Amino acid sequence: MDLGSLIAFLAVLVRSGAGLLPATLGAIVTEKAGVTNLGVEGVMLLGAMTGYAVGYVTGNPVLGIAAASAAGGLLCVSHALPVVFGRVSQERQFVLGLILVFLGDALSRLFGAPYANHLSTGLDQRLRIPVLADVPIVGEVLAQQRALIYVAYVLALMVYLVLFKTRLGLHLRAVGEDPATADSMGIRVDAYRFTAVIVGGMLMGFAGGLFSLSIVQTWTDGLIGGRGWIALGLVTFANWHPLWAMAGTLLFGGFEAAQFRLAAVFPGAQYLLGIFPYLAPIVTLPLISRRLSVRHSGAPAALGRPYFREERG
Amino acid sequence: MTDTTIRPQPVVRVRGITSPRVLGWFIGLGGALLVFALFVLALGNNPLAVLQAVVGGAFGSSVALNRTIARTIPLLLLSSGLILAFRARFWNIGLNGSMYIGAIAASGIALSNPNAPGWLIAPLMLLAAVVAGAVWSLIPGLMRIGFGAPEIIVSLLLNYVAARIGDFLVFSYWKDPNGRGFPGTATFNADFWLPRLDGSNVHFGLVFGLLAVTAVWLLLARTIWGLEIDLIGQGARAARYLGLNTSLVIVFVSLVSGALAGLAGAGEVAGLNHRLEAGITQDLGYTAILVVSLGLLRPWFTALCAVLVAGLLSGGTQLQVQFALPAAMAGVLLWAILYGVINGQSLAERLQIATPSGRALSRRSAPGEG
Repeated sequence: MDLGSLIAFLAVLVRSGAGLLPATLGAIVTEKAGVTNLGVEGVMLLGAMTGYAVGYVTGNPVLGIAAASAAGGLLCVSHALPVVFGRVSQERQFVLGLILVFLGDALSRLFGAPYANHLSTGLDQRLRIPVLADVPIVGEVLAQQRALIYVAYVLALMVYLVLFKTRLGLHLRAVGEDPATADSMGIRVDAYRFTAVIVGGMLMGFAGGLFSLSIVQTWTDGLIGGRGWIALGLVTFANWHPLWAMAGTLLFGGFEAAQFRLAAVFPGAQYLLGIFPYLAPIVTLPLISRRLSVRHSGAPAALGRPYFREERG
Repeated sequence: MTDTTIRPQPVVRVRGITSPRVLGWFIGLGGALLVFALFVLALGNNPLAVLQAVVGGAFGSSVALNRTIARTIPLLLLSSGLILAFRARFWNIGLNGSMYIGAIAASGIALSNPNAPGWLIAPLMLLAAVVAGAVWSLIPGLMRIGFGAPEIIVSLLLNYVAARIGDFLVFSYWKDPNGRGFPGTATFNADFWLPRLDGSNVHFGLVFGLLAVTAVWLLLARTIWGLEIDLIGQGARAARYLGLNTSLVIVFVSLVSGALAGLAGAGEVAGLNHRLEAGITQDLGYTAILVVSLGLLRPWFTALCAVLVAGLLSGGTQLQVQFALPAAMAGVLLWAILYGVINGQSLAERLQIATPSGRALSRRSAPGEG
């Protein structure tokens, strides 16, 4: 591989990784508070549709991505209410998450119909960062990235700092590890969990908007194509850590990028190579589980378990 | 679950209209329909006229009935297998993939032996579909047993893999050269088609569907296997203390749910379309999740729900024709109904727990709940 195609490969890798990263972060925030939300795919779809529609109508990508995040957060209210305040069982959290997937899909088809299949390039502009752009290879890879791609990686850093370096993050993790103890320390378990689900949903919506506005620059029905599930798989891979999530999404960005590099090898190859990004997580999941069994797991102890104050021991 | 104590679970369930599950079902359905009616009203349409159009579009004419039955047949097969998986708390959401692979396997047999006798090929197509669907569905099962990989993610991602394989075949190697660019295979030899009632979409797959529902009902209600599936669904820990082989049950439910999904796929290509096309499953593998959850994982009630959901989907196309409402409306309504039902049940249970008469009910859901 010559230098030119290496740079092209890395550019696609960084871009594809950014499409997954905020969604993975959203799932991490949600799960760290002890709540499961399987609806990532649906929230991303609604975010992608809303973001593109608003960006397309107003011509402003900032409004677009804000609308995408808001739509994601709003959809997740329908998950947070029964899960946090309704205290539904773990099984019902699963089913409600699945409902969110298909409700988000159906809603995005319903409201996205007028905006489907338009292509509008250049909504999100390429960004040149003064010093970085002059570094030899890195600069050339970054020169091809749009503004929101940078934001995705900054978000990972922010989520890491908030979760692990602030009191707020400590409280959130306490709620996910041991809600009874957190409660007796005066931490408002329900408020933290509710907020985590909504903020998580906003991050997932952001990921959807980033995908439609910056990466494919269009909206079609079912645009996200399973990336929400890959993001969910990456949570385990990342051991619930935002910086590991960044590493994981870059790896899976590489799988997507490899797909483009290998296309046109034989007739119909693009369909068969399209399997690659889906097969890769399936093959790597067992290895990850092995890794987790020997290392300290970052999985929240109270994940998926409703908290009843009256059962506090 | 990391509980150190095993809480006693009521095996005998409260039945009848006052049980929280049934009560919640109706509360949720009513709530969702009410919200939907307001939504339709807000869009400037008469909800009663819309309802009438949906029912008419589902069951009102022979065309409508044909549309409905075409979706009912695969849904019966898909949902009866899924009941077993969900009862064992094996979250197999990969039935769309198994259905696709089943359709591909059946098509492969038909296309590679175009001149063989029909009495041999037709059963062979069904057999291939059953085996392929079962093997496909076994992958998430084995990965769960062997590595503890979450089956919900593995099975879902495999759907995309199956769909890409199908796309690859219908767009390239199996594409009908006389198909005017249409992404599909050539029509199969008519000897391979499943028997079909004249002028209708009722094909032999309906018999398989009804047999599947009956078999699953018998298994759950009359055999020790059914009891074991329910016990494992109540908690792996309890099952271990009872000496049940959880792995074996997971293998069993993933095989059966995949086999029936494969059969559903074969029904689509051998009974209905007579060829493999892109998007042959119509995402019915996902719809089956909705059907079994609405059906409270009870075989006959689920079968009834399969008919109703199939009707709503085909009636939904009428909304587009008559009211210019987007076709996705039916999908929104269906999932909103399930959302209402799940929450209605939780609500009814919580109210029941608060009253002395409901003391026997555990806060955790009883087996067979969605």
